[in-house]
Amino acid sequence: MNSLRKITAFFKKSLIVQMNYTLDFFISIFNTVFVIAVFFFLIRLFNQNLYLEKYKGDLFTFLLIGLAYARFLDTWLNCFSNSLQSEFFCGALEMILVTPIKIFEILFFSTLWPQVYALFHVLIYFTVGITFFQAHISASGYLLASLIALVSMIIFMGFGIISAAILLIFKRGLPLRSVLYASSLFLGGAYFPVEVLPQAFQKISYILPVTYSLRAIRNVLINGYTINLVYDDVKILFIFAIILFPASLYIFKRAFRHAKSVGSLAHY
Amino acid sequence: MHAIITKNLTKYFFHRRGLFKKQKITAVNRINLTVEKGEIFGLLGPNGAGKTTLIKMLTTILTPSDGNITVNGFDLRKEEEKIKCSISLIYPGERSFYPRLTGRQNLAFFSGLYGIPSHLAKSKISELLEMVGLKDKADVWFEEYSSGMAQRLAVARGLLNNPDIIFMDEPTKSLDPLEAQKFRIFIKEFVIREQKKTVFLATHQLNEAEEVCSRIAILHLGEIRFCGSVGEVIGPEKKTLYDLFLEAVGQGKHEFS
Repeated sequence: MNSLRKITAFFKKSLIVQMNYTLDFFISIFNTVFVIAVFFFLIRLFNQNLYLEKYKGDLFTFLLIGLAYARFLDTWLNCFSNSLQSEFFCGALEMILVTPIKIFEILFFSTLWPQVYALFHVLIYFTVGITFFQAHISASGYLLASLIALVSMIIFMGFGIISAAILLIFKRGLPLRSVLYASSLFLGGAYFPVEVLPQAFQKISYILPVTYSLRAIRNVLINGYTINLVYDDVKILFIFAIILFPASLYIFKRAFRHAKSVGSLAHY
Repeated sequence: MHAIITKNLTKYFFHRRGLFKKQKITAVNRINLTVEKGEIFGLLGPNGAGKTTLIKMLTTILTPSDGNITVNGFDLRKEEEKIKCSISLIYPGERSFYPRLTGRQNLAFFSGLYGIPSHLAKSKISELLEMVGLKDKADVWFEEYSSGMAQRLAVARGLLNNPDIIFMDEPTKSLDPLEAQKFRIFIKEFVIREQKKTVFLATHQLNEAEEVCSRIAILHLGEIRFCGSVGEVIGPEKKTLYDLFLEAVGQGKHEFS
């Protein structure tokens, strides 16, 4: 019951703060719709659907999924360090730590709102893409795609938590986040199929979880694949999740203990 | 019964000097303190004496390097959660609230962290806001608060969880003399006399300590140089607290260093 009250406190606080920046809220919705429209018309202009036979030659739906995924990826990688950073800046972190709350509760509860906000944007991507720009999404694949996204979330939250741990110690976590985000999008096939890349880059892409995650989600949502057909990709994602997530929690715990010991919790 | 006991409490930091060198700085050195329940204990000391470091250790924000802390009967190393439930901390207010939340919303957030049910929190928050004189400004964004209002909100937050021990770190730092005086009266009359709380007050304002504290300790370079009741300070020699303070920090009246 107490945990529920703490979750509600963090969620409500973030929601109110977000709603107090109404212009930012509406601009973010406008940007989402704008990006979809730009991609749609660019595709019409060039209409080059090479390399996309695997995805029914549907470049727009391919990109729409990539865009939605990138929005999630941004949140998964950044929400932990962003939340910590905003608590540093307004000076509330130490005051929160005096209350009976555990550091992992702060970490997870304070990132609930960004996750919900990202989901809201992703829903806009799909709603607008399907309703106004004829994206072809297999309705039967929503549940399976959501499950794959959930496993991917655990993996990338692991990276995000490590980045937050780096922030706790070095007060800068941005380089790791940026490199991970950019390389995942570039090499993992968010905006173009991995096959377009030179051979050397393709090899790198297969050590990145994003490649398996995006391939599985696209196959489910565009080709209507069932769990049996994406099993191999999902298996690899599970392995990533099982290793990365507990490791990230351990690293964060150590970083927190260190910051608490050297007295750098309030520094930024 | 003792509210706070510290035994050989020590905190040292390693400060980087150049690329590879680190220098050990002892911020708090083997401090033994006992604070009784229901008293206002004043911790005095010049800037950099170690007051904030000591308060941070007592409020669980900072891990001690050595020694033991018992707060409200709970051992810091084993029962940190229990300590957190029975204390609160009042910092200078401006930089510990969310600017885009109102005073009421800020308090609602912290009451959630204490696990106070929302229906109880609502009435408690209204009551506290009225008590600290912020009833009319309760629904104004915190960023529009003056320093005095921010400090009063910090006091309201400090009383949210009905703590047994309240730690205050330079609580009147940003207040004008009138507000500061009101604050001191509030502490004496309400927090101590009516609510029977224990207050641990870190300050470098000697008049404040003299006015509200039953006992004081003077901290300098991480060490306790004096500890006793305000009456003991004056003693048969009729010393002032100012004289004692200068003696403790080893400085003459006309030095500026």
